[in-house]
Amino acid sequence: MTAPASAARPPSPILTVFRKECLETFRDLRVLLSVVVSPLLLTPLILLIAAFFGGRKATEQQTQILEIALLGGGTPAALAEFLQTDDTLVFLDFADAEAAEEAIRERRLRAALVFADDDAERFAAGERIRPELLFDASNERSTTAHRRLLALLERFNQDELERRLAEAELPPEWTESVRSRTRNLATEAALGGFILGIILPYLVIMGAAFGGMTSAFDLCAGEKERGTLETLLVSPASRQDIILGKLLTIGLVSLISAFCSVAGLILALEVGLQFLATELQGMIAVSYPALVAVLFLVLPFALMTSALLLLISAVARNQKEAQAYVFPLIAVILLPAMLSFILDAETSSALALAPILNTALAMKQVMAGATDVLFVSLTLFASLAYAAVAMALVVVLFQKERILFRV
Amino acid sequence: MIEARDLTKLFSDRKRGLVRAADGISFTCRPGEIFGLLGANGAGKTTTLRLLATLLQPTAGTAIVAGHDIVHEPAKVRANIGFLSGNTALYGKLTAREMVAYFGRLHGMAETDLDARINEIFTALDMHGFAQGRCDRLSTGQKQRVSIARAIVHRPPVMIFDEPTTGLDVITARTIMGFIERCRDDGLTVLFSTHVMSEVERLCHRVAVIHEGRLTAEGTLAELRETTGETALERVFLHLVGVTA
Repeated sequence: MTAPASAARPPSPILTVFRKECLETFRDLRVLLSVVVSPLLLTPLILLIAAFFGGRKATEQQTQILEIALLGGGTPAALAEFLQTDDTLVFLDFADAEAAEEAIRERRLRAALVFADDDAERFAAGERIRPELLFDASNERSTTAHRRLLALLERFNQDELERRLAEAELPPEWTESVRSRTRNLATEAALGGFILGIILPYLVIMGAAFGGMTSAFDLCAGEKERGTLETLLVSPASRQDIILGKLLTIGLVSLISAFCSVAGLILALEVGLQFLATELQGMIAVSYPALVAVLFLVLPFALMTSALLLLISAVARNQKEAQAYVFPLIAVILLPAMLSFILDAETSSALALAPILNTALAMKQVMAGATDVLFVSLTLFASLAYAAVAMALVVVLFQKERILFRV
Repeated sequence: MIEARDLTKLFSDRKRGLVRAADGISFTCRPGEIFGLLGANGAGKTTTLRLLATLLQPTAGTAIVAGHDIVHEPAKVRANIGFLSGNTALYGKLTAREMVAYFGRLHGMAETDLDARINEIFTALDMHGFAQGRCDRLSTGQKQRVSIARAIVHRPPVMIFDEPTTGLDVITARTIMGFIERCRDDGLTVLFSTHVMSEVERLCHRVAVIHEGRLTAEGTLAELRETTGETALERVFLHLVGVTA
């Protein structure tokens, strides 16, 4: 029995090249490490370790015992009593301000409040006193002591103000005519998405843009270097089919890289939320439909960057040369990706035409649940157009003898 | 059959200006014969072979390879040639079988035909023992056999060899020479470029000498010896390229 004609028919050259390149690419340990293992395991691990130590440090800073001195003859008794209620402060005695200054520099003392001799009398008379707060900004513990003393003084001031108002038989409104009450209308998901939307576009863009770099350089410059390109070009497959097969491979690797970057971050958040909860006050929430939309937005972008990487790879004589040529591209992609950190998601529609930045801002909108349909549509069309131009450019370049054989 | 007609390729080079890498080269290579292109390094042999394999486009002139014009039917030309060069490398992460199958598919072979053809070649070249071995882990001799299998998987009527023994040890080079002779015996058109005189003496029916992009002489070895009055092939070659001993 003979096989049906359709089963016996050979696949298209694009598909043949794509299948072979995928086979080789996913057997490459370097690609697996950089595209899958690193974003899925190392990135979450690094984030969790950073969050764990960050959280521990924050707790330490709150409970750390710090050495403080109250100097000068005029320390108001009420203030001294108030400060001494804080268990995390230890009060040391020093002869004068000079001795305290030296102790702060030598890190035996963390901060000191220096009062004038008549400060106690002026305080009792209801005047404002201005003690000097000494600390060393180059020392972390001294800075913590400074911050903690300022917070305590603020609380003391509030209590003292209320006491003085009561003594003068004045209502609290006398010093404060308006006090607003705030009510945040954002849902937890929207707020979480907003915060995630700040970091996620950067991660996705970097993943999609450079995840396919190793493969791109291997697939063209690497073939030139190893001497396999000539053999491939002698096959009846057209150069256009060959380059499109390679482009699809790099596009797939870039998409997997972007997906793994997102998955790595989500994994870190889901697994390590107990560590991060203190730091982020429970403000991270993951919207999975929004994440799917983000991956959809990254499709044309990944095609464009894959074409640009392949372009570099086609021009370069070898992989080393390709690595040197890629630096300007890194800068060109890094800048708009970083700009998305500071730019507002609700922005002018004109920015939907700005390559790279448009994708980052559209992702930011989607993550915050504030999708501007016009902006996102324009972004998709513009990105597709840029991808088409980049792909056309690489196809044209791949026909050039001067580029392929450096003749 | 290969019929080169006034094949010309000009390159512009920043240092050397306009370079005539191939300058009006004409020759005919018939089925069942081995035609040698003899020349020093940089003489224009590789450029000529690349033109015939449609890797480069001629500035002027053309060639008919297996009945197809290299300028107007490049894909058909490529479908009918097997190309093997000394610098040819393999895809290291593919197995020997995957490597040969890849090129079979690129030549449009159907899977059933491809499987049968691969088995036939692997038996003929004694390759079954390392068929599933990754190419980057094969010995030089095994790699060379994979290259041969890759070049003939689609049963090409024309074989082009560009200095195929460069960098090979004596035993592997012997395998290649044997393979070239077998191609001739099977009635294939064989074009073979080299600068090794002993290979020319062993293999070639007729020879064309290329020097600085131009074909300076063409004929059987006996004819060339008669023309130059020299006996040793090396002296024949030096005479034809204008170098006095």
